[in-house]
Amino acid sequence: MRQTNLLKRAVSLALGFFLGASALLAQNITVTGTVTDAMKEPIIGASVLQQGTTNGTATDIDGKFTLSVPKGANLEISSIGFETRTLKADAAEINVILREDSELLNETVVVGYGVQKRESLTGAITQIRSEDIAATKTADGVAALQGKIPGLLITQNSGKPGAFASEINLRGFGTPMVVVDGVVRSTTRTRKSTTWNQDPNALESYTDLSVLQELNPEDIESISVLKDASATIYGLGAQNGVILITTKKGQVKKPSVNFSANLSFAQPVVPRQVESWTSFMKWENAMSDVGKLGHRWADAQIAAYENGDPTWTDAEGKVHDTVYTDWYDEVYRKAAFNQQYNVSIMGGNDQVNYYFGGSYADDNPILKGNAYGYKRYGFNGNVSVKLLPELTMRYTTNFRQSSNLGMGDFDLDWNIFYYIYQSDPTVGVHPKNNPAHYTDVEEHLNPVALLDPETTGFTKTDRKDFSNTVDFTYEAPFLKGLKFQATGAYDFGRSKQRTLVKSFILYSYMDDLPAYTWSNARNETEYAEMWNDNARIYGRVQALFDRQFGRHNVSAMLGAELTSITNAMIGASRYYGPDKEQFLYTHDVINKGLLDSRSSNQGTRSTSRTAGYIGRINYNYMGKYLVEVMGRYDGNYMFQKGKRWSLFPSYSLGWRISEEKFFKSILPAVNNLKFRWSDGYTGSPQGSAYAYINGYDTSGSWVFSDGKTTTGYANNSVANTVLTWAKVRMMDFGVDWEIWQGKFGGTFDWFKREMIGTAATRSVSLPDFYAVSIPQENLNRSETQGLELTLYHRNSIGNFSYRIQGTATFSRNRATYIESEKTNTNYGSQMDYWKSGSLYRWNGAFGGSTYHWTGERFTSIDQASSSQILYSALSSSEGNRALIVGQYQIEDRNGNGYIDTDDVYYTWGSGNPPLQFGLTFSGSYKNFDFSLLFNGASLKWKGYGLSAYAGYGFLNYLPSQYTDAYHVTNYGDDPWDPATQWTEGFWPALVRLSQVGSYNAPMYGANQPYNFVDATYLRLKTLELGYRVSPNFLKKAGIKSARIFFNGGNLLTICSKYLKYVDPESNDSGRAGGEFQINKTYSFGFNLNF
Amino acid sequence: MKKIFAFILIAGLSLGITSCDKFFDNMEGDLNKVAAEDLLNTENGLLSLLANLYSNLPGLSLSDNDKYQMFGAGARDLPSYGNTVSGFWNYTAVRAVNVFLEAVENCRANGILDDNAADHYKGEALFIRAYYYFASVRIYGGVPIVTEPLDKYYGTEEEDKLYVPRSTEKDTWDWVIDQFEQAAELLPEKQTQEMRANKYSAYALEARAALWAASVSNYWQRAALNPSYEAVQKKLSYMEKSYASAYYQKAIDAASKVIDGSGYKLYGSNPADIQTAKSNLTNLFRTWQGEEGLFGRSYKTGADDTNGSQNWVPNQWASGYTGTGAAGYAVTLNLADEYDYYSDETSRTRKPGKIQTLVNGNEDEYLNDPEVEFTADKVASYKHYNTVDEPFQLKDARFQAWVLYPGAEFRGGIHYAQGGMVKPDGTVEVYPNAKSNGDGNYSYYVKGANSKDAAQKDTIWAYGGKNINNSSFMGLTTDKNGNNRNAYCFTPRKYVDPNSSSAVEQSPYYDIRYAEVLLTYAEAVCESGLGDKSKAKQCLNEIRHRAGFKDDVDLTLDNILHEWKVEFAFENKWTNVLYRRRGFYNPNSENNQEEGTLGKKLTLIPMADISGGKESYIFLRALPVVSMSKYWGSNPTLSYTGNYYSQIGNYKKDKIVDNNRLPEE
Repeated sequence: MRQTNLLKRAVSLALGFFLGASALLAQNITVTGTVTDAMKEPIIGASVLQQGTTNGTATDIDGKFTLSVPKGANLEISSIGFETRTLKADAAEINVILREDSELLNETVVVGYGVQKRESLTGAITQIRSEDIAATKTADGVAALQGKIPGLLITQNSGKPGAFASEINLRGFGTPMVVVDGVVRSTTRTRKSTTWNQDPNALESYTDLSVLQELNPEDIESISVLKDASATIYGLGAQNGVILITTKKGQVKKPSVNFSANLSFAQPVVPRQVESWTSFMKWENAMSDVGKLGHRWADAQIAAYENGDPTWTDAEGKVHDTVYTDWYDEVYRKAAFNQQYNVSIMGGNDQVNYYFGGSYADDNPILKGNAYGYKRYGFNGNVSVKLLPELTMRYTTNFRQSSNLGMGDFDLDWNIFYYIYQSDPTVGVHPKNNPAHYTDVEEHLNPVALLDPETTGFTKTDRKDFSNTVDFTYEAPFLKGLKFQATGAYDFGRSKQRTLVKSFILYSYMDDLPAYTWSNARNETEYAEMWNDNARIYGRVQALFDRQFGRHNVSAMLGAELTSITNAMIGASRYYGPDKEQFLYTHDVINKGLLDSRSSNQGTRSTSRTAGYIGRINYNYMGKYLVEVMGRYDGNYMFQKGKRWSLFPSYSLGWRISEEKFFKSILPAVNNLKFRWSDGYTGSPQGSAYAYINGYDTSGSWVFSDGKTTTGYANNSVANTVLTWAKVRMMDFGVDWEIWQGKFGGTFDWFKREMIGTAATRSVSLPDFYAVSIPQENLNRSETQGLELTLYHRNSIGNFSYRIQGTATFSRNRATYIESEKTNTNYGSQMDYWKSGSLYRWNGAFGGSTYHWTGERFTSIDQASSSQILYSALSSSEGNRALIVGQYQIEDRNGNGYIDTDDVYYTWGSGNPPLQFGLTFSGSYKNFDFSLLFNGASLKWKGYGLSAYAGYGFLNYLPSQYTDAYHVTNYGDDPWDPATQWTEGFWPALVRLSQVGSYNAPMYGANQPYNFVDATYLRLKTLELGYRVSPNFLKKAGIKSARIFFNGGNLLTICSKYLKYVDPESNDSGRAGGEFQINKTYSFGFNLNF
Repeated sequence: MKKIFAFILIAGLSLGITSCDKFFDNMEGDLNKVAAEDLLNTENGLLSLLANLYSNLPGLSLSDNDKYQMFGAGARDLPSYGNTVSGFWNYTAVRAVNVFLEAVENCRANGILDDNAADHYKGEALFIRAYYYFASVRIYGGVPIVTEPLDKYYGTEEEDKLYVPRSTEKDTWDWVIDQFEQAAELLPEKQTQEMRANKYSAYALEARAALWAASVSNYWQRAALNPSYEAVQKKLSYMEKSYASAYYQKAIDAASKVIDGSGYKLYGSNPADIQTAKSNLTNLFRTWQGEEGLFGRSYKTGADDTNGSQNWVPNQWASGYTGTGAAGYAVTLNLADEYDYYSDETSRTRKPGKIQTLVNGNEDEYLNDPEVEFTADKVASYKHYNTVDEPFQLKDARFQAWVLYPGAEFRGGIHYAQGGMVKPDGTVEVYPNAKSNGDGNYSYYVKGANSKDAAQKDTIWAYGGKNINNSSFMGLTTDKNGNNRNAYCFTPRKYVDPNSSSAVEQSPYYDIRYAEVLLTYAEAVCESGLGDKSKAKQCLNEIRHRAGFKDDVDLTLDNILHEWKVEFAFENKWTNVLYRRRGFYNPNSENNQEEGTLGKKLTLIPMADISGGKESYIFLRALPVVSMSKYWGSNPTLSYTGNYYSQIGNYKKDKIVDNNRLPEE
């Protein structure tokens, strides 16, 4: 390590000087000791200093030091990344344990193209360390960051293995750029469309964040998040901020092996609570009574189920089996079992150091069968070699291989939970006498069959990503503080996706005859493969200068970089069918396609290139006045010559008022108070590449002679020579403070981002004869503004030390200029404008809509039909006749005498919420340690969108929550008889869907007062309890230290009581499960250090 | 590794260089697009552009064919189309032609095309552009004529040129006819690829356009526009009778160029017998017959595409028979009645007349609501046939080849269609399968058998065996399994594979064939008195002879209009005839009813009479819609009371005069 060597030299020089001097002093004692961390690992190169003097030394490779000091002198022991401790030198041997600390002011923070001390930062940058990330046990690296970094808005949408459905959004800007070991490694890729109901060959492009999603927390040294103009140093595309990941490096110490294992059990966060089968049958019959429909379940049938009879006889004398299949139990496991293992080795000496880590993660679904699963192998390593005293080379490599299994047909995948809940329980999974066949159920999709890849097919995605980075660092011997760095990277990745969608036959339960033959999408078997090949080549040179001139600290950086990214895709598919007799499907390889089986092929390739010159100067005066100026001259391949390059400057200022003498005298308790301001520009690429070239698209085709089709081409747009990137301005005002040496502290940030000139088509009136589409120009503007707050407190009471940190982020954005809304003549009325206009309107604040409840309910059918307010427009043709007992009376807001969509009011929607907060509480007592992480969000609403499915007889289950509904007190009473007694409840009376015809009917609407719920929540994301086993105990086994832990995920959620059955965080909308629920996990694991 | 160092090296070098733009040169460009230069400067590129120009031609598909003679898919309603012909307002397509024309001249100048080839391409482009404008002028009247790409003027001092005014209707017709003529002069007599326009395609289209202009002029008064309309005052949508004879002459001249010595002729003319005629007429629409087809579209794409005609097949004959998709279109009784009978198999002279259903022969009568009006006591007044196909046996070969009728052989079987029955006890039931017993199941299958009694079903079948799947009238719009069946007894079989069911129907579509040129000549001569009358009569009868008739009919307008109906059924021609001749039925007018005076679409309901222990058949003439509350669909009327000119959607933006508006509007 460079710092170690420098320090050693400096210290030995100092030592030599003072050794002479010290001989003159009497009563000196020689103190020897060992400095270790909490794991009893020696800390190498820790500084041991006699307080108030320059007498000091540094610890050696075993963490040992020897220093001669006057007896009773104060020794200050410090090391980067650890809390500084002060001890009295009153014994000959002192063993010091330093606690790691990430909050300390002199901590080194990784910033764009370099490092800075925390105290001299002028940008809004948060850094967290490995342990904080690893505290959350999940295979999804994005989810592991949730609640830990102020400004990062993260919502977990689904618990499907390998889906990585966590939304990540920095400060409301968008998805941030991800930089790993100095190289931008998030990229745009192409994959098969995952959207429901899509053409199976449709493609979509997406931002690949797998470097973040699939990261192994144990390999991470730190993660820094650049949230303001400090991100602009990464140039084009950094407009959403930057996440900097630094992997672990070798250290100058003896080889040390670390092994950890984590085994966990996962269950859905929201427990399933449904009525028993007989209760359900009665409820559904009661629903039929309300709608004056015939009973779906005969009394004899209900009685048979109640009595446990094997058969029952219907009115026509036909005998039926009394079968009951709990489809939920058929497909749900009690718990999913997941595991993660990690092993790493690190060590090194003055010349060479190394780190190698390997990891394995295995995530399993809560569903039975082999339809889903995710596995990942990872390898991370680096070697640093001193080639010359001044020249160091480091090679870093990362290899990941993951395999993700899912359903073949995305449409089924999307609906699997719906099928579970609507399958008929009165038939078995298999036909009565044949376990080899699957039974035909509603919509002809037997969920057990769907989860059997042998029957219905699969999608298997295998990915390999390999990244390589080489760094050379040359410390110029001719000028102190100057060094040169050259970095090159070559990454390549391959993913192959194999999809099999099989046509399948279901059989009737009683006689095992083929019950249904698919006609359209599923009447043929399709096997498809898609291969993606991606590569990135990157090169950078930079010169860095960092030096102190008296009270002036100057550092500067000048660099240039180039990136070239190539993506290529090829896909093919074969179809077998629809006449099954003709097409035998055997193996899942493309070559098995018969000559006359239908096929389709596709392929594409693209290359992108960017380049930039980077410059930055930091200056500070006595650590008091801080100035940073930086700029990038960026080039991008997308645009035409002359429009490819642009300069993006930024600056930031800081004032550490706490360093001022007057301040120190007035408020000595405040050890840090800093004001920061940053303001800078970058660019956001937009539009399509090469739009400046007149390009033709395929358009129509013509058969010039039988059997010979010629594809037509047309250009219906003109070459776009005007559009360029949008200009982005990022501003941040921040305050950092800390009192009592870090006991309390916090930061506050106000931020704003302006997007200037986003692409839009000019609103001009051109006649049809112009005949082409007008090119997009840089016309629109938008802005994002928000606040970010962090408060922390840490303390030690005896052996108990703890830390509490709370964070909150609020962000929102709006358009400040919309070309198409230049004039609001497009709107028929002010109401229309209000409903659909978006200029100057805070986004998301209109995402949800709900009716106001007057507080009254319709307590009888007569009352509903004689209501003065017409519910006509709302309920289509049925009007007030569709109203039911218990229905909420809705406020006619505009007083026009009827209820329609103009009576709703708008509020925040159901997306990634704009207000999120986190609370961390961690600490240790002797050998115990614990950490608690709470995460929450507000300004989010949930509509029980399709509660109709669950609550109104559409499914074959009744979630228990709906029993809190208006219902006739005695089962069987006529709901239409005015004398009938009703029991009140939260929900209106339940009605079978077939009565009201559509789930769009008023009582089902997501925006009904009882269906629209504030989804503010606070969730205990992580609870970890650890116990460190004393090394003496394990020494015999060669184990230096060991820690065992229990970790719980999502154990507790505080939210509206109406969300008891619906997860407030994920996409779950009460639609009988909908998405894979996110999981509650119970993990056990251990770390061993050899 | 080598690459990494190269990149570092370049990055290092670039530090010293002011610009590193070279890094961005020589990139591959947008691989998902084709660069203009690759298309505009090579012959293959021009062909690809040309494919787009052809594909923009309006109306060259079966999907919106002559539904005027049909019922909609599975419904009792009109097919989803207005009573007008399809229009064309697509200046993006026009621009593509104009860009193409510039490219051709450029290639000529650069030697990429020799003069001959360049002329051919130019001729095709002019043909296509004239076709576009022909489709515009027939429904919009005069339109803005744009002959160069105009986008280049945007943002320049000449931006005014973006605004092109409408030409008068007469000028537009003249221009279209002239453009076809110019195209014909440039085009070769024969193209190496047969689905491209040649000289005679252009003359044939010129004749069609000229006849259209002549007809509009001649019959303008039948549906004259309000003379106060601004477009009429400016003659933008205005024609007059005095223009007619010049246009008829143009039609005669252009048609003559095709008839005299082009080599085109009717396919399978003068057949030996009815059977031969029928098989020729079937073949004509199964494969492209180059001797008759002047211009059209091939559906043999090389892929599994289809021409859409499988939608015409009754669902019970369609591939797989599981679909809930569009069931077949059906043919109206009105059209079926139009087809003549042969006097007998050998002399084969014309015997016009409707299908006989009643004993008293009064075939103008029909039932408004057959379920109510047809009662047991009326059975005796109906003519009883011994076999179900007896009424169709001596009909025009074109009817037999192009219409699927009850009892017809089709795809290795017999096509059954039965809409009701006289039960053994003498009671009658019409549309039995539409009735529900209240539990959601239909109580009767085709022959009235109770669905719950399988044994009875076997005994009551009157004809056709026990396979209920191949009968029409099954549950009307959809049967109890949700499968669509055809609810009528006649369906079109032109373009349809008569032998096997296939999801892929690739029969060609004739846009214009020799028979139309013959009939155009005949009509132009008959209407104007110009040209050669005996030749015109010969033209008219040539078409009839191909259908197996041996006698000649006179050159009268009635006979000509009759041929337009029966020869070009389902080819989108009859609607055009009514439109250009302003001949739609109009209840508010007395002098314009070429369509006839009924104004309604009728259907035929075949019934089995199994009363009294014997089997015979009767046929009911009826309106297809029984009652609005019970059945989907509206009562189809054929009246057309609107203007023959369409509004122009963007007239304000385009700064032009709209049709059908008073000046101050």
